[in-house]
Amino acid sequence: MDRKEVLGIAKLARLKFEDKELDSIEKDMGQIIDWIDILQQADVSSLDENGTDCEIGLRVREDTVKISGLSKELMKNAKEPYESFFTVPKVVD
Amino acid sequence: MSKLTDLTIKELNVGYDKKEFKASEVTEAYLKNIDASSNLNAYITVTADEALAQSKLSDDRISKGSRLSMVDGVPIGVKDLFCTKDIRTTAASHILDDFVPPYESTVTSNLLNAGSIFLGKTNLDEFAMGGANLTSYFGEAINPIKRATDGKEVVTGGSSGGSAASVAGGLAAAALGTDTGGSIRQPAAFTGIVGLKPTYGRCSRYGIIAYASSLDQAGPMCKTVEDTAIMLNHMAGFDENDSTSVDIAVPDFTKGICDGVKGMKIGIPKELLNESIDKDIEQSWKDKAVRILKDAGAEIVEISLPNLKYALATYYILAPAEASSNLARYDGVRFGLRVDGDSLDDMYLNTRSAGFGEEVKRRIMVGTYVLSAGYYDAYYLKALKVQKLIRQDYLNAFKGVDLIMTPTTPMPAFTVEESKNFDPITMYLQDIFTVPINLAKLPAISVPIALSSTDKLPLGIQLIGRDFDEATILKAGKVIEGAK
Repeated sequence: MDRKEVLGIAKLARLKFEDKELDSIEKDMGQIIDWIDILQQADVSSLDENGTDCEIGLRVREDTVKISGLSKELMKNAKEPYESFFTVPKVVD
Repeated sequence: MSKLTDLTIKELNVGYDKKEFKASEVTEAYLKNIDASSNLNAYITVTADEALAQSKLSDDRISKGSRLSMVDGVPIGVKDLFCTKDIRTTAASHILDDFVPPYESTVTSNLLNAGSIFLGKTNLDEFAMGGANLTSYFGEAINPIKRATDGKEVVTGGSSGGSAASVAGGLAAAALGTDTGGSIRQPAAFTGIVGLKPTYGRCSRYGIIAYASSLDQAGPMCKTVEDTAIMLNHMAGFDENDSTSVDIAVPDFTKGICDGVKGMKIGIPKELLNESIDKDIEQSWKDKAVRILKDAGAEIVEISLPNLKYALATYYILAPAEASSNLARYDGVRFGLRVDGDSLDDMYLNTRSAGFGEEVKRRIMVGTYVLSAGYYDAYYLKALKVQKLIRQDYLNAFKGVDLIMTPTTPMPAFTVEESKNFDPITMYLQDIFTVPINLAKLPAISVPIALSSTDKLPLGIQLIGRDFDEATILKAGKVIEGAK
């Protein structure tokens, strides 16, 4: 794990770090990645291609429209709402 | 009569039935304790007015003889990870420190409908990421039990540290926790209370702020095993709003809880026999707990879980991976903190960097890494496969035993200063006994077993059951509890 890689991951994660934070996150991530590398020793050849399927299973709901009636309440937590819109910094000139 | 705040849920029920005291008196007594023990930092938000109003409704029902359930009139603490309608819900994070949910989580809704009284929202590690309640934006919760040798304060454990402190410190009759890798069981062990993580799918996750969705599960933290059963009765149940909620009948967990363990086979994983664990914990497990269960008529059997050595690494890939995805929603647009920036991307970056704490950022970074191009197969996909092997190990073991017993933690509670010498991995190693159970989706309970020999700190024993067989671990837990 080098500085360039850490910065690349931080960009993907939408996080920024001060220089001294970068030193410790680089060190910690390096250690953690080395530590989780033990998994490479695990023999998973007994599992078939569907080895990751969840046996308990997932349900899907009926594809029907439900009215929550919460639109106004949901806007209450927005920092800068405009009528029923969320606002963000200008994205087009 | 003992103090109202010393009573178990069961004893509150007896008192209410005999009309010996009112729910409002019990609630006031707890609120007084919360006020007097604010140094424990167990609560992020205390909802005294709402609690008193709810208690008056319980009083009315009690006086009319129309109590709704065994948790009617029972004042509880709610981990501040459960969304509570119109009551601030922070996940102990700066990024959500003014978030007021417009809806109620299913588990809290179930309890409210059953008449429970909510005293407030309890402290936790930020987004439930941590094992000592040290990562909370609102400061650490403190264990009500001090270390006997030097009188020093020790951590509550985490992430449900505030819930544990509230029950152990007499600041709630019971509390709600969530457990992704041990977050109910480990703090229960550190504070000398009972904590149960139900089978994945037993309690709805709807309205619980997500950390690692495939592992998160709500559960009760209580003074006794029987109280734990009572609470679980009113938390569990199918919910169409959670796609992983399992549509299976919820038994009355109090029924047969005193039946004992006669004739049961209890497994001890041989892979853990040589783990480096604290001497007192080793003794409480291999000697005391084994003896209690044998005396009660159980047979102890050695079992093998060959892939257990991969559990921590598997967890610390899968949980951060899911967290990095789940926490992508905190962008400053719709709710939570917003820190302005020159562009939309700048605003995301500024908001997230200011809003998340160090451990949360570390896990988002690791999660993003293991999901990124070039590493996805080697880490994330591999971890999913190893998870399946770990679960298979347990299912194989359960062909020959009724439950499995391990310690809850490898060491007793430590001080905040001691934790400063821990690097992240040392902290992660605390989860060695609890994490595999979340990966295997099984139910497990931590029950107090002993105090450490010199420091007199609580130690917990963990009992692990088959899928949806919480009843059996409750029975065995009751035997351990009764033998003290």
